[in-house]
Amino acid sequence: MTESYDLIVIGSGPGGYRAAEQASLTGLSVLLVEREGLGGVCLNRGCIPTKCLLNASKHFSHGKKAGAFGVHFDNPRFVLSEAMAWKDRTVKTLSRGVESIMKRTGVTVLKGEAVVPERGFVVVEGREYRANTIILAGGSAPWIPPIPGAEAPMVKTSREILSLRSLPEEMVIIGGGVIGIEFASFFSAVGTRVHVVEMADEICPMMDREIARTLRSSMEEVTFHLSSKVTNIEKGRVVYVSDGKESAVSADLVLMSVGRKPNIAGIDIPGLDIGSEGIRVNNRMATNLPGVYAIGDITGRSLLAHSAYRMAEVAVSSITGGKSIMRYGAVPWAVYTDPEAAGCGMTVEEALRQGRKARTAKVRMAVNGRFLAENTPESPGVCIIVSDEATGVLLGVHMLGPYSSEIIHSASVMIEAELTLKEIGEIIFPHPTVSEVLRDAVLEATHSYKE
Amino acid sequence: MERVLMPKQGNTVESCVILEWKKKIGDTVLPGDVLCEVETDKATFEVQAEHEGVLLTVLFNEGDDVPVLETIAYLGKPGEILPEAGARSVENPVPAPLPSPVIPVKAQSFIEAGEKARSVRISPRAKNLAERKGIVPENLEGSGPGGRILERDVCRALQGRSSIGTAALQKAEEEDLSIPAEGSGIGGRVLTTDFKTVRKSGWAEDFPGNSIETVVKGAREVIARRMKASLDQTAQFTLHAAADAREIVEYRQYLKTADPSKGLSDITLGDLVLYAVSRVLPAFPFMNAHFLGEKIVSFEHVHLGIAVDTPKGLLVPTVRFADTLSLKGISDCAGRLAEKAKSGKANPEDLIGATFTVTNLGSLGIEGFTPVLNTPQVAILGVCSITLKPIGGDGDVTFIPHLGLSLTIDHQAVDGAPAARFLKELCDALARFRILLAE
Repeated sequence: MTESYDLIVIGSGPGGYRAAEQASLTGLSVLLVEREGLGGVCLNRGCIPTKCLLNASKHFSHGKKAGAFGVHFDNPRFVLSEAMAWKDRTVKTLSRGVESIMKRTGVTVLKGEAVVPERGFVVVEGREYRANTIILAGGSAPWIPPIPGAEAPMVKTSREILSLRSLPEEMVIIGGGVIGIEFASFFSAVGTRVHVVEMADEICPMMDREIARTLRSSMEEVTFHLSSKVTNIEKGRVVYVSDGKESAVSADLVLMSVGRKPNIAGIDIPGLDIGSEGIRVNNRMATNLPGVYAIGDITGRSLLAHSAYRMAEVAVSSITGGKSIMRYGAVPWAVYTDPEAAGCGMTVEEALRQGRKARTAKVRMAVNGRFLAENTPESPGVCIIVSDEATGVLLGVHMLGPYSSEIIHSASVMIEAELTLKEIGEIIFPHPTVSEVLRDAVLEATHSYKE
Repeated sequence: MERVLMPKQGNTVESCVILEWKKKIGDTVLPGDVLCEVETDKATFEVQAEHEGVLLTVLFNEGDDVPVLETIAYLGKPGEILPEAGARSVENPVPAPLPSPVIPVKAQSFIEAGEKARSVRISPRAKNLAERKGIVPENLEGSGPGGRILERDVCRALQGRSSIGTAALQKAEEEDLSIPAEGSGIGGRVLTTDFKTVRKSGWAEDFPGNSIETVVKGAREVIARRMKASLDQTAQFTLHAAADAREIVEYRQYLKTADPSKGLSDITLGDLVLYAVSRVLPAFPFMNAHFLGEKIVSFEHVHLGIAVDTPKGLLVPTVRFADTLSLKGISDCAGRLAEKAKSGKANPEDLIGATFTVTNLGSLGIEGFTPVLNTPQVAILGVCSITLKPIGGDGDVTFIPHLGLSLTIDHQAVDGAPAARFLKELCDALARFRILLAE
């Protein structure tokens, strides 16, 4: 017999479970289908577990540097198995949290691989389910480029590397994006010799160029090979070409982190518009077919858990007759390296490309009270803001330094509300906090306008 | 007969606005019946009848601002004569909508208000609310009589008022843009980027803006007449096909790199098509023909009309005996004729005698069109751009550059299948251009 629901959500990552929860709260009957752990990649194999490990490595390296502040640890040790156990416990706690939200809000959760052969129709493990509306939230998976040797056992993706049993002595990370850089930060902090091979001429393409460059040079233990293309992965070494010249680095572990691909296997709805980047949607998260919505990584847009949350809310709004639209202009991002980096809005290059009269203002964290109280003066830290000369509106904020990830949401508010520098100048920031660099940068920009 | 007065509402109210008449002239009313609804700057209230009778006349329109204690209507017996001259009695009642104002001064004030566009007609109550809520009455559309702004208009504006930041507000003021009811920002907030699609305020320019008149004469007149005649007098339809363009593209590249003293580098892709047409056409005499109504004349030799885009309009000079010319000969001749046409030096005899015409829009990226016949010719070939076409074979798909060709024919003279055979032959000839050259 076929079971019927108002809504079937496929995938229980941040987008999927938020959509299921919201839709259920509005009174719809909701089926949530998940083939692995509740919470998706974010909770099980992404955001959360990597933050557990990065926090451990930060404690470790801060412990080694604490002597400058008068605290001495004798011979601090990092024990991978214990860090992994901590990570697993945290994941389990949060996964149970999602499970209880689903229970509380009355969402039916079903474990199994979903196949969608047509609109309104889902098959899970041979059983059929029907719904007027389907939200596709299947997420994304690491993409393995066709490099010879890429299938060798020492080559891992962000998925397998999270169940590593022992630390490698030397590793190569292919791809200098957010995932690659975070793992570089972790492994280099706990004693692995790390090489990052990146095809572009700078790491982290979404970052302001100067921030990216500063972050890269602050990761002193990591060797970066920029403008380099990996051509071959052999036993114990990775071969790459740079400027026409072939070189190799030795490695007993390779992390493949060159990008992600949408999980569209099983989505067989005839006529559904699927591009190479993912399932195409409008700003209401609707696909080209009625009753079919897509949110999160599977759309190929803004591959971030928090974007997926918002997409979920927009999709449920669309389904229930609301008018919410998805805006990507003020989605913040954060990289949890040590020091961490965060940003929101446009880089100056983007603003200029749009034909705006953009200008930047920069403030070093070395002028900030709390930063200096907690860091040595030579520690990296900077805040760069981009503003529109014509309107005085804040367009972008880019930060490198402690707490950046916790500060950046205020930039989202400012950019979403299209506040002007003058208006932001009236906001009171708590003192002493590192967040004051944002205000200082705004003042800096306001003064430069006057000059 | 009883007067109905605008009631006095406390000591500070000097006048009230009539919002709506609830009774029509001729209606019978009882004491307590509501005659009309009026509005002060503080409240709306009803004016009730104090006597029984028939509503003989009303002296003010909806929307009029009436001083208190002024007579606004008369109640009485049917047929009673009204005290004011010219006022209507129930003997000749005017059905709803209400009659035009019986007090001429009031009527005039309507016109004045219309002419003085900036002087806003607004009820006191609406004005009060607008002032309290920071709404500018000038920007409101009044729903009252004569566009008078009523309290409900202000309420509506308040409801639909969009949240807007200072930057967007300033941009709207500086560039004289009207603020959309809803923006694309958070909670519908209007952002600076939301003005792109909003037109300037209505009074900046009257619809439809500036325009220019040009007399149809000279070349334009000739083209207009001939094109219209072509569509009137023929049964034209168009076939579309695409020719594998690898060889012609390659050959043209080859010519470009040839010894400059040979003068071959100016040969264009269009010239290669002209050459192919001149060689294929003789085998299809029915395509190389004139349709003259009672007879069809087909020609042994190919005289190619080439459509040239000139500053004065379309001109079609003729490459005579194209079938006897070499590729370079055709290219030279076509180039020379096009040059003369463009500089306005074409001879009249350059422009006549073609048996088949080729028109080329490929350089403009056109992928297919319906050329209009150059009568009495029975066919015209449109040359389109080169696009990549997926071609299947051996379980694999490859993308091969193809030249689009649009052939319009006169169905009076030529049928579809024979024309299609010609087009296919032409495509094949272009695809095997090297062999064509050898033949």
